[in-house]
Amino acid sequence: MTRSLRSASIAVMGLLALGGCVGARPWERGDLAAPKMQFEPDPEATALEQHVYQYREGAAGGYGGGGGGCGCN
Amino acid sequence: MRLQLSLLGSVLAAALAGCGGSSPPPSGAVVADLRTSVYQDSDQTTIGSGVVAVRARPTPEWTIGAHYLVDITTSASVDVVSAATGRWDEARNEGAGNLAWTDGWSTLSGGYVYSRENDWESHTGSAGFSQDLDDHNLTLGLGGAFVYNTIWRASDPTFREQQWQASGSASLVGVADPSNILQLNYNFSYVDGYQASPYRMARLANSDNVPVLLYLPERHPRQRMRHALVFRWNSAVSPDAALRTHARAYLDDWGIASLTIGTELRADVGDGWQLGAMVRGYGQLGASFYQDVYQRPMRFMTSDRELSSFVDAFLGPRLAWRGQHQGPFAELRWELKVMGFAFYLPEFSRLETRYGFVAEMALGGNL
Repeated sequence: MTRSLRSASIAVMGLLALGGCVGARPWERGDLAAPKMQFEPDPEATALEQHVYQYREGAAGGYGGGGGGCGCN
Repeated sequence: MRLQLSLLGSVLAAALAGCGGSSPPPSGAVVADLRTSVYQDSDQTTIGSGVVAVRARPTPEWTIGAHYLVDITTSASVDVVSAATGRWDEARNEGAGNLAWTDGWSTLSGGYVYSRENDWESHTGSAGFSQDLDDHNLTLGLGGAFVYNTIWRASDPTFREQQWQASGSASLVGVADPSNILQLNYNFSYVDGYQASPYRMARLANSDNVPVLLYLPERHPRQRMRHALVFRWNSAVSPDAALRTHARAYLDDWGIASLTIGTELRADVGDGWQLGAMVRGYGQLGASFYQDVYQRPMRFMTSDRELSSFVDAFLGPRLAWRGQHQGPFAELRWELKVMGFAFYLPEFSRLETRYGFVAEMALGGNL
């Protein structure tokens, strides 16, 4: 339980730190709008890739993607 | 055999799709994508996957999507061979639908996934909410999902188990400046029910070495609490190139602690072509109850190498093309990606190294 609380506290502090971002005005976001700058430019690609990792590693979560099983012996 | 320990990740991704992760299709557009992949490793496992996805945005507020996925696995992995099961083949079919509403600042989404194979069935429901703040410089996302799985053993009507999972996620995406965007995502999941494999056997011996005297069915704890904290940073290092970096810290109450670090460069090289390369590293400390060979029967016993301590690395190139106004299509896309990988599992004596590749090809278009 203590571990859980510590993890949650770290997450909250990180969120607050990220909240200090400076930002960009709408006319300054040309580069940010490109597909290569999106975190999930293609959800299906993310799903297949995370699928490979999630069934061969002990960790999971946080990135999205994945899906049900496959070669997970 | 498959256990559904990670479906929540995909579900939460869908639930949080509005929070800076991915863009919905243009209003009035229909987007279709076909993606196939082949996985091959040195543990005699081959997997072929195919997914068809369609998304439509009939009005500026509403987006609807669906996908169908199939994968076919053939394997003679050391896991199952040691359990005297031999080579096995199976197919999994998955269907999903999702719906999202947005007013440009707030997004609500929901989805359902059904998946079935010869020894496992899963139902998943999810919901998400995201809110843009500070002139769209910040997006806060919250999501939740529930999964109910039924697991059985092929050709054994006496074996039937259940498992359920509940998960939550909080995400914050921030525009740091005109060239940098950051994401912090915290994800937890609680799993209750059967989490071992109906096929794998833990090994029991009177010393650290062979001969193994006895094979006993795996016994995993029935509860598991998992935490993942992910930081992602996409940087436009030039107008034509983006560096996509990520790191994840993971912890669960089985004793697994892991770190994932990776980066990918994507560069536009003209005429719609894009070149890329990725590298990713992973390391974990194993579960507290993992042993390669047990000296005596324990309350919890496993033969799952994914619960041991190990490291792995993936790297590979990517080639993509994107063209506007191609015949009836407002946009056409094509992609080819190959990743080579290597695992070093010093606590898994049956196969201390595993290597292989994943090749993926995709074709998509917007109408």
